[in-house]
Amino acid sequence: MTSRKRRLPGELVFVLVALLFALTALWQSYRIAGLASWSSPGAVPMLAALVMVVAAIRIALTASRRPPPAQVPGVTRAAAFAQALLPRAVVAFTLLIVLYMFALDPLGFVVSSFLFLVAGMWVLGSRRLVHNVVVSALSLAAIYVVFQTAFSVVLPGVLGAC
Amino acid sequence: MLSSCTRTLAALALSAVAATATAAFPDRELSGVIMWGAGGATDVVARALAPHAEAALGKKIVLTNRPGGTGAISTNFVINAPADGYTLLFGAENPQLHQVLQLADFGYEKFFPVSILGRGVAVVVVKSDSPWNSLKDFVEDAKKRPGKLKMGSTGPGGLPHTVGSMLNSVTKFQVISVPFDGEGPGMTALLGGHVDMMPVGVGAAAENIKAGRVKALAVIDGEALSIAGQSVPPVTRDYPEFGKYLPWGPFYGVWVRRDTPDDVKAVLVRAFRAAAENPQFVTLMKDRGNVPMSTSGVEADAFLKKWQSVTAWVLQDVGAAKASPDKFGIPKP
Amino acid sequence: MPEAVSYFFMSWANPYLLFLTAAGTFAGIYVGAIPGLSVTMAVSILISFTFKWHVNEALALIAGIYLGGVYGGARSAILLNIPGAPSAIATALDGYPLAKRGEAGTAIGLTTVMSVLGGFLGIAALAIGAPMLSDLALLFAPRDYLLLAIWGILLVGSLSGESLAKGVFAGALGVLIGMVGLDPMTAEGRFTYGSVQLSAGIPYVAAMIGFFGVAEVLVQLHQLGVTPIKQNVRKIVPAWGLVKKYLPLSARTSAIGVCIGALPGAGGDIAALMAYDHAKRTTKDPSRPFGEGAYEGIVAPETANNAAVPGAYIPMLTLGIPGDAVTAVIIGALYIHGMKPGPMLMIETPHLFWFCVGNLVLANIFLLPMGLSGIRIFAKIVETPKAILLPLILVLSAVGTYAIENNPVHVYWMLGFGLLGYFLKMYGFQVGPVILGIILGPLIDASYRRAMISVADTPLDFLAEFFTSPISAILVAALAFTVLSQSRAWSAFMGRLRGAPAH
Repeated sequence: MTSRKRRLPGELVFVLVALLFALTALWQSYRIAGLASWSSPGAVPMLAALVMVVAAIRIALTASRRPPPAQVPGVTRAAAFAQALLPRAVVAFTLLIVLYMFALDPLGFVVSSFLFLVAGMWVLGSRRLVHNVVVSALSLAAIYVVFQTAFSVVLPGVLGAC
Repeated sequence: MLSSCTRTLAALALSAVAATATAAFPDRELSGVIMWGAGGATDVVARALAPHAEAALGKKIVLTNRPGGTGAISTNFVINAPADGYTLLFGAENPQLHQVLQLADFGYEKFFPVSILGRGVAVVVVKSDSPWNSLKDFVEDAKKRPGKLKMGSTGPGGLPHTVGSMLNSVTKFQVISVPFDGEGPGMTALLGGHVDMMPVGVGAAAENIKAGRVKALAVIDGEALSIAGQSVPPVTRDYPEFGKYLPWGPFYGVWVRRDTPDDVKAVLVRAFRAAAENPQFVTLMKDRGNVPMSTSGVEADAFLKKWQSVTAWVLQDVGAAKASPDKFGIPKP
Repeated sequence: MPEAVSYFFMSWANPYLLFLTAAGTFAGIYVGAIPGLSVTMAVSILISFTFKWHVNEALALIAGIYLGGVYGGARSAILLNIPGAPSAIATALDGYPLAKRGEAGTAIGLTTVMSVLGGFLGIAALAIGAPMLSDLALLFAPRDYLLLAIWGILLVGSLSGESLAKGVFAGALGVLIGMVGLDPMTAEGRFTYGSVQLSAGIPYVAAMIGFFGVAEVLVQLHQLGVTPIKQNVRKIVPAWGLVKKYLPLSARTSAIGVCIGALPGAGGDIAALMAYDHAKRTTKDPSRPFGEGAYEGIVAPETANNAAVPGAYIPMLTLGIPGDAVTAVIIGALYIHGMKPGPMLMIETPHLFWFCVGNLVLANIFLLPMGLSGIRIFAKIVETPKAILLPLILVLSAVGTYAIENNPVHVYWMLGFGLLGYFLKMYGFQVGPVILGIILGPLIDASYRRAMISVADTPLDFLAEFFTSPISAILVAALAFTVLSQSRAWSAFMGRLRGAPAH
């Protein structure tokens, strides 16, 4: 799969962030116990971080040797990045997931999951609303029975008032 | 749309409040956090006790092992769970040393002892084909070859570490202490010959002593102990000076956060007293070489304080403590 | 001996025990298939449930759940790319590509037959060599566990995809993720920054579901318009020829499974990964390249993880030492039922051994029809329109992650790892090595440090012991051979021997 010649939009930035992260990890691992002993708690983390740094340098060199992403006239770099990495569906769905996570606590598992499922199916292009609602309700009922009843996993915010 | 949403939310909130006010404890499953790994002494005691407590409480107790950090991971977990009595800590003696070893800034004083189930006795074991036949044999050999013999341990503040420190202060022997994830994995390493000696609770060693795979050199107590028909001599036979630390041993119990409501504590204490005094559980405790106790509340707190003061100061005296017990208001025994 | 036979067939002849084994196996398949529900969890819940039962009844139920659960993990790995259990991680690597090609039915059929085969070989090892194998397992010193972990981490090379450097980076990242939390040996914090959530460590099931499940969902969003592949469900039961072809491989991977399973410090997840690595290294021309739907890539881990189940019974029944988390819980159950697990167990209660063996055989037999039925319906899951399927996968991932420890923070971890995994995947990094690092990192850390402490921190003695101890020396030789046999110099050498041109 080495046939890919051009860099992906944002690839260089991502690789540099990875390198920066690896360097930070190395420094943080050093701070655990310094070079106190061969068997210190920091030994393996330092080794792992060092491996990361070396690998990241190599990845960065490879990426920098590749030609930059193809420039389409009239498309800015940011737009090219968004098109390749963050298409509308990914952004919308990720936002929905984040909303779902925040709603889990106040609304409880059943309500928030139901809203998420119905909204998610709609956003992803399933326009048969009744069908979506029925499928969501049935699957949630199944999940609820299996987890809460059979496995005594206490799902957040029980059925309660809903 | 918005107003209906708000109304639903308000209704939800109201019903939640109403539910907590009226429901009798416990109205759902409890969760039990076991301080040591599966298969260890604490684990077996907890799993044997739980069904009896479940019967008394009328609800399940879902047990999970959270070993690590000589128990600090489990105490941290429970102290951060809600103080509603639904999260129980099934633990051993270790948190009483967390402060002086700087593993955590709190010990059992932040918890309410629902029940101290019983205390155990420690034995020093070696593999049965090893050349040592008494504790003195081993100590003399260790003195001849300082830093060569290996002792299995369970990390700072664990039973092997404390017994090792006491022995060290009496005999000045030097061994390498190799930490394992618990008594079980430590015993496994001993059976494989990867460590030479290990102090463990009698329970973890009894079956192996019976099978003749390990031999007990000494019991950490003032009197001899009979295991599987063999009499194990007390540590004081070879080293009478050890007597100043005795009686000493691990203990097992159940705790909840101290700021748990009193009525909830009362329910738990009642249930666990019934469980700890169940004949089947008492038999199991005795089989594993423990002395059943079943105390709670003030009495248990006094027991915990005394144990802490003896042990913390031992560690301080042998230089194994990282912070002085004085700093945490732990009185000298 | 006739006594042993009668105990062996005890659960076959008693209708109630027969029913419990069957029910356990059936339930186990679904426990295994649902991410977040683990066999350990199911068995520990059952212990309080079976408290008042006779010990044989409890053991029959548990054996079924254990074998069924380890097998069931493959199902969600193949259908959804979310391993239902850690032991199915390796199965996802080639199983999911098979489902994408429309061969989900074939894949599940093949894993079923091969799991059963691996189970039988594992049980045979348990029945014949238990005392010997358990004594062998005891001889494994900390440095030998280190060697095993290093062997496992070599798999990074196979999992890297387009760039080895990217695979190595991902693997090291996984090791670091595995280090977060209080160090189990000194209780010092590593990367905890005073946070209690961090000091408890990052649960690897949350990372697994995030990196595999959530990241895959996000990647799939790029292909919303693509209609799902029609699944071919006509041929479910694999042809005898196919099974026969993989017999030698499955015999070897079963042996890996039993041995790793019998080691007290390693279980089915590591066994499956090492078996996958073995298959990848030894298979000359796989049905397809590994990672793109090679049959060998699902045969190897699935035989190994099912063989690891009887493997884990070996130290449990002979020495009272748990081979993994599930057997540790079973040991607790034995205590509670008044038995005394330990080296005396086989002497004081010899019938227990043959009862367990007979029971595992029975559960393994049940596995075949239960696993092969209903595949047609399951394969349809992959045909569900993505707009419906993806939100459902996400909810299931969230519940599964939450279920591990009833902790909502784990759900945030899962999402964070999902997003990270998405970007890693988009830029050509593979997520397999990250999971590998998370699983093996703690084993490397603890074994290395134990080995180093045992020689009083003297690096020279540390190195010397790798050659003076027989087991370590054998492992070192095997490791060296594995590495060398992959190198260009070796293939050039072998090529010259055969008189064929090397490339």
